[in-house]
Amino acid sequence: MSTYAVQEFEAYARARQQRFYGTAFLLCGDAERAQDLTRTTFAKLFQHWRKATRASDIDIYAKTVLTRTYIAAERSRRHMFERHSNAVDHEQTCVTLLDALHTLTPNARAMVVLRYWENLPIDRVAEALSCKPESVKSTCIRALSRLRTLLPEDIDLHTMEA
Amino acid sequence: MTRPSAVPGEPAHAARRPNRATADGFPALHTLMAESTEGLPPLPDLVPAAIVDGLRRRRKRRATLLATAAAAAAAAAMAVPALLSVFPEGASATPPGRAATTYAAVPWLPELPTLTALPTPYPTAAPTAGTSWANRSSGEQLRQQELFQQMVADVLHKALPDADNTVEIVHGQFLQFVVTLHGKRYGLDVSMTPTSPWTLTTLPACTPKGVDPAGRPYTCTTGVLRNGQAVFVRHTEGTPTTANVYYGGALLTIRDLRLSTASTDALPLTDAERIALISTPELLQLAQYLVTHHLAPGDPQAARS
Repeated sequence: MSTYAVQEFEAYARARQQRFYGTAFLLCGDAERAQDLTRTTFAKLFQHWRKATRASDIDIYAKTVLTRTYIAAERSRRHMFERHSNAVDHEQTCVTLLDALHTLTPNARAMVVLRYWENLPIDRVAEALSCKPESVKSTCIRALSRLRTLLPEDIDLHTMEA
Repeated sequence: MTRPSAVPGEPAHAARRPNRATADGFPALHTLMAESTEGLPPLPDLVPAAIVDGLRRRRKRRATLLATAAAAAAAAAMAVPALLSVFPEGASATPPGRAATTYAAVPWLPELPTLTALPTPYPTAAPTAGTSWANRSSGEQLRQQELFQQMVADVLHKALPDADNTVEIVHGQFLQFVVTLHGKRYGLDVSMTPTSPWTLTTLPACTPKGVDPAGRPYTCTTGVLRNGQAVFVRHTEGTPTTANVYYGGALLTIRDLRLSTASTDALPLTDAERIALISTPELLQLAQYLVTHHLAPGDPQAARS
């Protein structure tokens, strides 16, 4: 890789790392894991930097890498720890958005974050997660409905309409 | 690490901030998300570590690709001879233009022969020239070498085309024979030499016509064993006709032998018949036996085996 490409990558990554850190945190709900996720995303991005720079929108490319890395990691984590066993307790005690997000499946969580945090259009979300736009739409409706039931009533989510 | 609440210092549901408009009109959720990320610990510069990771990933991926390509090439190299060996009887495994190879209907690669049974005794012909191989062997080894020659003679007798052929063992010369075909006598030399593990065990490509490094024109006919090994029959001007094949760690060569300096008669065999003769499974197995048991006269490991 040329020095110019490395400098180009460094500039891009430094400008975006804080934002990606936030997105990663919303995805995984843990600051340390979010840091790891961000670093892995940038490593993957650097690995395929030439391909990334040829993409129509490098930000969307990077967000796709981030969400796919998160989903892959989450699958292996869930496989290892079987965290579903305490889902009922979780529902009873969750008061924060992160706790509520935590009850969603990794795919649904990634859709909600990309759609409502990154403000990506439905077709872009579908592209990033390799699924149909209809699937994104229906999953987001179900996810929002679940969030409404889990978050305290005094939080006004009525403006959220799928 | 404890999970931070949506708004540091106060319960998440207690905090309400002005909605930020989003492209899709879902401001409340976006605001809650923004609040959730506000309490994050400061982020160190991840770029240098990401670059190191990225380079490592890149090297690993390239190494994997190279290893995969090498494995695929090795598998292909092994699969092609294996595929050739499963051609059914009668199906041609040789490319067009090459001589067809005939195979005897005997089991392929049976147990190696043991030299305990006494084969048919063959008459002994007069020696041609050179020193006697028997001087370099003694005792049990000599007896086994004599039996081995008898077995090779037996195989030649069965494999040569004329049903009335006779095979004589040349006295004092290891694996030299005088054969009578259609009432006429010809000389035949069989050579079985071990190949070292680090040398090529496939014959170099043989063009149908060419000139050898000594400037002599030659013609070459190619056949293929069922295990994929090439068999060559080569007629070089001014030298005896030879048939060669590598098998089981041995280079097997059958060449015409002049019975006298005045004789120029070559064995009256076609190239296809020569290929069939050298491809005889029993002969190939005997060659393998000779080199694996270091039975040849003068074999440096013969004394130890």
